[in-house]
Amino acid sequence: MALEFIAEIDANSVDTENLVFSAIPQTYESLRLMGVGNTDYAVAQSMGGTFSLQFNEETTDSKHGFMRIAADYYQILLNIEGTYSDNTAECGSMSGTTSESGYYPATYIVDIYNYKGVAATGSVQYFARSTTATAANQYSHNAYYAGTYGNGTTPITSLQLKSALGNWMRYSKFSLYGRD
Amino acid sequence: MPLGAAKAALLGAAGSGGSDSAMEPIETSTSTAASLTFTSIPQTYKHLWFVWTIPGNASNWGNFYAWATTDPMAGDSRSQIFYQYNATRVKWSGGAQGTGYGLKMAYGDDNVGTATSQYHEFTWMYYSDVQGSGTTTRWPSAIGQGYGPNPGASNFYQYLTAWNEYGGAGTVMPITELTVKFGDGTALPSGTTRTLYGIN
Repeated sequence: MALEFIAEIDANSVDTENLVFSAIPQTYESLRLMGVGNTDYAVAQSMGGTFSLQFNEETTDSKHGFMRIAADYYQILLNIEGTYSDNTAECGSMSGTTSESGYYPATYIVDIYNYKGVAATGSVQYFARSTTATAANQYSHNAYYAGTYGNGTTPITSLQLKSALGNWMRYSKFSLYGRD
Repeated sequence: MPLGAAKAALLGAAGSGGSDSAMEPIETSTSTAASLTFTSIPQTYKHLWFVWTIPGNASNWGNFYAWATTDPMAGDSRSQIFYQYNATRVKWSGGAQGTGYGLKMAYGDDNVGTATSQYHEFTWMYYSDVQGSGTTTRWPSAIGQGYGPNPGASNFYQYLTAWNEYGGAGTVMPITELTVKFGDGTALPSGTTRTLYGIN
């Protein structure tokens, strides 16, 4: 399986709520998103921050859905059985600015399938992994996410990465790859 | 020549391996020593990806540890492991281990049978970035996952793990050296393979 670099985006010039990959090539079998990030929001504890995907930058279509299995600092979280008909698709968390005197980045790997709008393979799907470990572990998490977006036969040509609470802080950075 | 130095010499300043693939092997080791250090890691990639396979054996190996430069890790280094063995899900949170261990990265199956193997993979994102300060601080981090199945017996393991460093004396960005270790130092079986890749 070949892995080819497509593009990189970051919040290095200014903190921002949304980071966007556009003009995504339609020549791969699947996509892989890799990166680090944190929010400027004062997250209460544990998995208070939310990293979401918005396929084709759609924000009002209610076609996103996701589920989650995770561990936070205190416990093994129960399964989030599924949130459907939403405008975003959750795929990660982060520790925020009050996380024990430090800015601990969360680390993300997100694989995206069926993104070309091929009817035979159905809607776009993703599988994400998100982790952080902080000094006293009160903001730590390990999480798996699976989700979808009802794109039908519409290709995914852009992908919005949303920091749902506050902005991505300036070291946040993501790289997008295509896989044959 | 230390591990990693050979690849660095080949790549030179340009950092191009001449391939269209974004992923290139930096170094592969079949050493059976429990601990292995990659030194002189080229600074020409975006990410590091480490893959470790361990054939089955009757020995008791225990857990997986890693560190970037110092051992034990600085006081502000932490990991959290979400793992499942058989039908039970468990969370483990911790920090620096004793001298000679580094930071615990994973719970391995300590009773692996001879008919199976263990697999571990870790990714250090943007390892060659500078550290910065304040809200632009880029502390080092990694994400890992793996499994240790054991057909015909108990003790199936799988895990997802976080590795982060913050501010202590051992914190380093960029990462130029990585040590990985399994268990208590007991030699690993023949067939053990550890490969460090660079991802452009």
